[in-house]
Amino acid sequence: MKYSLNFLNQWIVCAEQQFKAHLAELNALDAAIGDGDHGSNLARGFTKVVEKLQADKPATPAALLKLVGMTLISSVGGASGPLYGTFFLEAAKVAGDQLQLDDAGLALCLQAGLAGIQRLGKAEPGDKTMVDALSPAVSVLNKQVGLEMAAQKAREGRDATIPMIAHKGRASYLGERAIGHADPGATSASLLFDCLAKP
Amino acid sequence: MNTAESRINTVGLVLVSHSRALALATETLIRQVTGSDVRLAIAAGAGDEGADLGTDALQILAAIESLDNPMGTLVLMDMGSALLSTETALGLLPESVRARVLMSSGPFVEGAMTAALAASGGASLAEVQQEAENGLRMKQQQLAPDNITAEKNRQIPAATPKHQRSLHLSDPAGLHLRPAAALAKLALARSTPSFIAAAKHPDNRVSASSLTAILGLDLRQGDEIYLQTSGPDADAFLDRAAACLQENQHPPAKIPTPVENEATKHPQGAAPGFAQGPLIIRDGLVTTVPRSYCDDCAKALHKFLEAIAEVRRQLSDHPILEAQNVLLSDPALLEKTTTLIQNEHLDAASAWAQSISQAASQIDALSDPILRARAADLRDLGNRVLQALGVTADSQPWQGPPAILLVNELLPSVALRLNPKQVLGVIDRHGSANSHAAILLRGSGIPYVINADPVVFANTQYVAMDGKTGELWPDPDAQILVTLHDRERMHQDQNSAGSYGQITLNDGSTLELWANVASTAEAAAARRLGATGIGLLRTEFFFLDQKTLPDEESQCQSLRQVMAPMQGLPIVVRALDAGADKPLSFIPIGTEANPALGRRGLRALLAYPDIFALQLRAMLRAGQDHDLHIMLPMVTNPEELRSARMILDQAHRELEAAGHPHRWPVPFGIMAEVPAVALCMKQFNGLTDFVSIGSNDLTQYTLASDRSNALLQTLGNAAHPAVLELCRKMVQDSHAPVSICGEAAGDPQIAPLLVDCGIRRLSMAPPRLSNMYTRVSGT
Repeated sequence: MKYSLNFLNQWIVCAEQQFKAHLAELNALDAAIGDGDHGSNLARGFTKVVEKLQADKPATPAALLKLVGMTLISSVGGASGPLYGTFFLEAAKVAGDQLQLDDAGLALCLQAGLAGIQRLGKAEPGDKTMVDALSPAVSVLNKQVGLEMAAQKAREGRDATIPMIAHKGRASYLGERAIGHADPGATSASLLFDCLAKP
Repeated sequence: MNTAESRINTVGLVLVSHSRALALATETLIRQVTGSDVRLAIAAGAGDEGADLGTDALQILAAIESLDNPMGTLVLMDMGSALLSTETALGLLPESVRARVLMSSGPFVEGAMTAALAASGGASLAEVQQEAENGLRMKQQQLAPDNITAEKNRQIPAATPKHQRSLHLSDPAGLHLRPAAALAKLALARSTPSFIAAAKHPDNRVSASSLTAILGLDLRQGDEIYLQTSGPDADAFLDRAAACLQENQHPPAKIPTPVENEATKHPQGAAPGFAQGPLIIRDGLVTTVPRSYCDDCAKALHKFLEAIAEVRRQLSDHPILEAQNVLLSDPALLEKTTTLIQNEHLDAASAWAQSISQAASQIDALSDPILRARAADLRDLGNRVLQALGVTADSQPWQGPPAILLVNELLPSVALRLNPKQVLGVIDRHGSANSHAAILLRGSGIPYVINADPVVFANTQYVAMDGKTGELWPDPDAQILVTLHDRERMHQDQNSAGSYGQITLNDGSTLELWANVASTAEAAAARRLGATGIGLLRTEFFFLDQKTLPDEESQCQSLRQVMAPMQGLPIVVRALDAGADKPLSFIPIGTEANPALGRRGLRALLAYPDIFALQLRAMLRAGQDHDLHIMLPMVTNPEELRSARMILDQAHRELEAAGHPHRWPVPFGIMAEVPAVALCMKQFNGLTDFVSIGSNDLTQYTLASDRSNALLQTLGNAAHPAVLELCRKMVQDSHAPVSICGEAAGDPQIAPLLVDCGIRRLSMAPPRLSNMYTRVSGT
């Protein structure tokens, strides 16, 4: 399958809608273990992103991913800004100058994005972070089994964070008290993959 | 964003906070103290105009770029996403800029304040960073001086040891390094954890495998201690541990250690004189490793482990270094470092330096002076590993009671600050007899031995040295000290007083011997020995230990003090010779690829005309009752001399207008250090009142050979025909008198060659006058 500029645009627009639709849920998850602004931050950031995309109309997937990344690192405010921002910026770096991405190209981009997040956040799978959703989803993409399977893996990864103790970010101050809630970052990451599967 | 560009050449500070209000208030707090003297930018808040709480990587990026200069930028962050956003911003910077940006782990408000104070004083990026990290120290010391170390050591995994042994410490030295090391070694050899605690603080139980933690307990004579462990071999371990603590209670018998020389390297005398005293290992290096990050952290970890293995090999050849070897196996140190590499992504040297400096400052905080002295072992070990990692050293001057310092490559800036009352002698692991440091120590009469093998001094408390022959005696016996005493007295008799100022040569002409001085003591020696005048009064001394520029009055006072003993005789004062190997914080030259060919001497003074004018006014005032001459260092072209003369004339007019009595007119001359001056001497005729050859730099520039590089010393010295030819040419071409004030002037083998070139005025360190007089008389 080929992923055009239009596909990527729709992906981001879908993400904006999903984050807005799940704003309260994401905030509530964050409030249980953090400062309760994850949904608001992402909704604000992606609204800005969609405005920018409509104004600038980037010409290549690389330019689009870069615009998304730069806008997120500047407008989200919380830790998810630089993390998701880096995800898209690193993806942009390996997107090359093609006009559309193929399966292998998309997998490569998202893999680079995940590596960027891990480098910045220093999180490993099992730390109760967005990496727990992103990592299984990205690794299944390499096996060319389709985007729906990747989204499925992201949801499973999100659910797997429920019994975990957090090791990173403010949630880690809470220790065992964080057990019993899904990680908000893993939740937003799985929404992002839902959109990728059905933009 | 908010920037103040008042002082361009200082480290910039970026304040990154979730709250714009917090950052602005912090800036207000800082500016109350530093005024506009600090370059500061704020990146705080998210959303439009930073009204929301949050951080913005692009704002941070812009803030860093707005301050960027060669001095570098320190970023202070409040918490959480501030760190991630800053790291993201760093990732977006061009590599050249990123290389001079550091993130501070210091507290936001206190760290910003201490960093701002350091930055406004012109401190380097590494120093500013260190200040920021120390931001909490004052508060910690005031509120809980004893809890800091205890708290740090308490992080021991919970365990329920079944076996316990209590012991009574009877050694007057408390639990000192040797038994502690023996205990740690035993504990390290077992897989079951074991613990030690003092009965007076049973909660503060630390791992018996960690030497730093054990020393941190500050155990003293009379203390009751507990050893705890579990496992099938628990009793056997406790028996052995108790036995080894008892056995090692008394300090070890001194091993008579002959100085072992490596084939390629042996101690050499670099500044004559005898000294004996307590040996202090002095390395400031651990605190000055700039924080940098690893790109390939697996490789960094590998590099670190290899360095540890390398040092372990070095240490294994020397059984007396057992304690350092145990420190090297200290799990607290190793784990801390590997964690810093893996989790904080520090590079190997930064991570190790941070671990060592934390452990050493923990020991520094102890009350027992004997234990405190062990921090030196830790730092020494730290430096050993840093050397294995390829990091070179510098060192700090000594402020304690009189002692002999063991240093690693003495820097001239440090050498100048050494006080002969506190520093009896210096032993250098490396060093060069031609270095500025050696010249300075010869001038101030501090004995100096270079190329010393450090290993020999590991457990040495007391040392005797002969700075002429390079002989060293670790822990000398009484016999050696008596012999040395006799030698010393002979040496002093030779130098006590005399009339060594003038020699009539066979051709009937007079050779004048002048003195190079930087202190009142040296000027007094010059007078006592009959020097014709001061051929070089170095003024760097007044500036080198200053954070900020000394004012006119204090410069004037310093000069008066040095000149006083030479009342009535000619005195040549050299304007500030900053730059190259004598950097000054308030004359920020910036990083130069080739400092010896960079903005130094007069070049730096003309770049900072206010500082130059200030010094000239101080000189003219201090020289009011003296035969003052003013000399310019590192001159290249006549235009520079013209510019300098305009500043001098202006200084005179200002003093006159202000009604300050001062010397006027004064002879104004140049140093000939740049070959261009020698070759174009005629252009300076009529402009300069005298010429003084700086043979050290003239040699280095003529032979294109770095004088501090020991490996190049065979290329030649001032006796090289090319240098002598330049000297001869200057004597022929110059209308003004030509003298020489470099090291060559005091070298009895080279001086006759200079006399042969027509030079009739040699200026040298006072201790060299008598020898020169004896050697040259009758030539």
